[in-house]
Amino acid sequence: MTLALVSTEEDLKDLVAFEMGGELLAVPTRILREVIEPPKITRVPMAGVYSAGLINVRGVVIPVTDLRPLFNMPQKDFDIDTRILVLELNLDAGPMTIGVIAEKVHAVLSMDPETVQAVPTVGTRWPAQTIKGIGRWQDRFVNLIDLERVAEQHLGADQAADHAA
Amino acid sequence: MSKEILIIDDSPSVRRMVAMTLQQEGFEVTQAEDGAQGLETAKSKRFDMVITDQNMPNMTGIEFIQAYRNDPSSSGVPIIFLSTESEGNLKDQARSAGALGWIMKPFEQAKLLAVVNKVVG
Amino acid sequence: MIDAETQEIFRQETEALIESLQDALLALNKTPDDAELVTQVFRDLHTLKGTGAMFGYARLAEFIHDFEAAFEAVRSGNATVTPDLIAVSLKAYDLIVALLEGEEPPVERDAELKSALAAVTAGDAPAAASIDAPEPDVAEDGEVEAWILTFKLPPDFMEIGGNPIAMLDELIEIGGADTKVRALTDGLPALADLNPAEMHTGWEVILPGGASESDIMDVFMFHEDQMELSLKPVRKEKPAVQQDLREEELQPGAQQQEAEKKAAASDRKGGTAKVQMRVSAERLDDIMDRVGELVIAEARLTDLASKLGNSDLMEVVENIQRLALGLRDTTMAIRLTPVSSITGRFQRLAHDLAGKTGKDFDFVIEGEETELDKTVIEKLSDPLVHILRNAVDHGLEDSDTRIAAGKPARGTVTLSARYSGADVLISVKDDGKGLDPDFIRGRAIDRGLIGEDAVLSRSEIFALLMEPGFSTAEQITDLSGRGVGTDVVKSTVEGLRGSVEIESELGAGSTFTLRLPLTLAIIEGLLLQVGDERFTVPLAAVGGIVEQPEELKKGSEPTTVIELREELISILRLREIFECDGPTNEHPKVVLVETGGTQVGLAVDRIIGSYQTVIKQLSPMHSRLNVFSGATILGDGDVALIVDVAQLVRSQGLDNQNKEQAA
Repeated sequence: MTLALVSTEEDLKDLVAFEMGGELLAVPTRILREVIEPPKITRVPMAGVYSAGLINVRGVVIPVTDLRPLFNMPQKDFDIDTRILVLELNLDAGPMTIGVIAEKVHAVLSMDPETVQAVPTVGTRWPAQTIKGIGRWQDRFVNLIDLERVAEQHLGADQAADHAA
Repeated sequence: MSKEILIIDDSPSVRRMVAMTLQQEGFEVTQAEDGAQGLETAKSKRFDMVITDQNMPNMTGIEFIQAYRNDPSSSGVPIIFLSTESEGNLKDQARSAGALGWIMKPFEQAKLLAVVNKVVG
Repeated sequence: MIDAETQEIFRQETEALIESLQDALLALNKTPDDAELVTQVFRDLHTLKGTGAMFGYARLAEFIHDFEAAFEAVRSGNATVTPDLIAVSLKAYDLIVALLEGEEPPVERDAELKSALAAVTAGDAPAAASIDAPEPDVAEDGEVEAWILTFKLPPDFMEIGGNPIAMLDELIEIGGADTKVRALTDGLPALADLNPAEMHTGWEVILPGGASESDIMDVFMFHEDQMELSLKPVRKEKPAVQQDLREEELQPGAQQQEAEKKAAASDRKGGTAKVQMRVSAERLDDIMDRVGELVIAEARLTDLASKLGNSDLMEVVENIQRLALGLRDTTMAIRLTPVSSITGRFQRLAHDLAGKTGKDFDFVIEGEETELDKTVIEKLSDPLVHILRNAVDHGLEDSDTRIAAGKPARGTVTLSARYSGADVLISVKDDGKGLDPDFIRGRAIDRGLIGEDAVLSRSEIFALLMEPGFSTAEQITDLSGRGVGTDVVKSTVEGLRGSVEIESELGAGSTFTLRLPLTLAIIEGLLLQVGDERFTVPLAAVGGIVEQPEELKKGSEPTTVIELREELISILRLREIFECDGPTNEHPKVVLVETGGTQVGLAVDRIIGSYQTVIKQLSPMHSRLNVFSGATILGDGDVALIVDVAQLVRSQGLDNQNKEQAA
């Protein structure tokens, strides 16, 4: 089965891979602004499980999301490998800068579009349409996560409120 | 040395347009927002030329010309009067008060430059 | 060749002019005899015309020319201000706005309005006769072989900065190499009387026939009346060159000077000598950002310096702190704009609404001088238009109904603005039929917005009006039944970190109140600690700080009521509401805050102090959590949330009005 990946073929050449809950995920470096060591995160009360809080990146307040609950992954404590990917997402409502917690960040890699396959609709941990495809890199599956869609569908404030304790 | 021109007009956009047009040609431009401010500025130093609008608050263009010409320092400083066509009959008054020439609004930038070059060139 | 910034200045300038024009027209409707207002209208039109023409708005300039003529007729006493004139003028105003906005209304519209303007000022002298002197046309027989020009410049020519040599050069340029110039010195006075600054020399210039007469005359344009000048063609048929052609044509044009002097005098009036400067809003935003950064950096410096404990350093730091505060206040003041900057369009709207609905009412504006952040004011316009329309369309009854209900036939709609702590309240009040809670409740149940057994307070019921999909209009009218709904009012105001409150009494009228923060950028904040976390509340909302009474330390319900200073007061325990961890303090505090007319207490562990708080907007991920109005960066670089006290109180169901259950 071929994929409608035309718009992302360019993206496949330049990916940053990171780890979360034992899975390998990747996003195009096009949307990556920087990778930082986690600074102090200010919790936002009542904001729901996907909100890790707010950080100060050189005078700019940036929200940080923890996607592990969304993917039913355990929330491992921060350790020496933990990083925050600062990403610039293009949402319908306009651009949004957001930090994503990654348990470990791997190198920038390139992927052959031929190896990318669609995600099976059943039997995966991924909520519908959050993964654009699955490719292979060094004998591991790489899940090409669509963070823009994740943000639109799961990180809007409405959803955050719904998940509030 | 570049020539210094004072532009008096209460419309910021016209003032800016005049200023930019003249600056591009290497003139130094000072701006004033009405006749009263213009008078103060004009008396403070000698300009190579003064361009003034007519219809302004505080002091009209003609009042400015009259007041400025009463000051000996204005001797030999050319004043160009800006006016819209409906004020055409103010032309005579401006001339009697001591303006050297006039430009009818609206004017094109080229026209302005031609007049300025003719007067101070 | 007009750069973007000049365009922007032009846009702002014309915006201010049309606003002022409309204000003056509406004011004239009330006081038609006010000559100052007529002059104001005339001046605004005149400036619009001149500036518009300079920026390529030819159609606009042409149209305003006639518009202006109508007011010139009024100014000169040939016509009077009538309701008809104002009505037509407002339509003409609309056309001006459309043209300025680059729309292309049908061209017939110009002519229609021009003749309407002429009709309502009929009896005047014909509208602004063109003053351009007709070019003297040389349609005489015979080809011109040469021009003989003799002139004597005005005596003050040098005095006023003229340059005779440049003038001769110009003539030579027109005539080419064959031009002959000869000085005529017979006008020179005796040496004793000679004023070296005066011009006495005359010239004779012979130009070839190919030179254009108008080009030659243009050289003298403006000075013609002040000088001796003669220009004669030499035609082929006539062989002899006439030598003595000097004519005395002195005609000082002192004709209409009296009338003009009067006009100039009235122009002179009005306006103080305050020097104003226009700055683009973007630049102001830039400055505000920088000041924000400065305030943060300053807080950080203070923090570090106080840790070092060096008194010399502290002195410098305090100085910098004072300067930064001053700069902040000035910058904020620059951004503040009086509400009056947008009330003009409401006057106009009220005028139009009265016409469309046939409802007679007074439109009263109070507190126009109240100032708000410019950004806030601009965004308020649309919500207020909507509320105002609703008030007239759905609130006010027609006069028969009003009389039957024992009310004055004429309704009143009041737009008022006033300060309330760190907020500004803007309300639209009508004395119409009021809102019927039962009706609203029924409609909400029909629309599935609430369940049939929902228990709602009065204010909660009124708040349903602002739910998307709710409309109380029994029939869709031309005025309010289309376009944006009241839900947009709510979202716009909340986007500005404000809130909407609705109060109404059936039969007596309704009041919609918008509560808005004074400024969007920086507030004085009180930093509080709860467990390990820190939160900021706007200091302006804080009424006092007291020790927590013993009884309060025991419980752990999110909200409770205690008696404090012989008054019952609701307490919000932030530790419980925000689910904070961390150690408690031995001497916890209660921060008394004022919100919506009531006082509540926030139970916290510790008061850290007051800080300059630069508000950073929350991202979409958190922005609908109304409880926090933003975040700020503290002196140590950490982020702290800013608590929106009113929303927090509401989220806990402690809103005062909620206690009175709906009947």
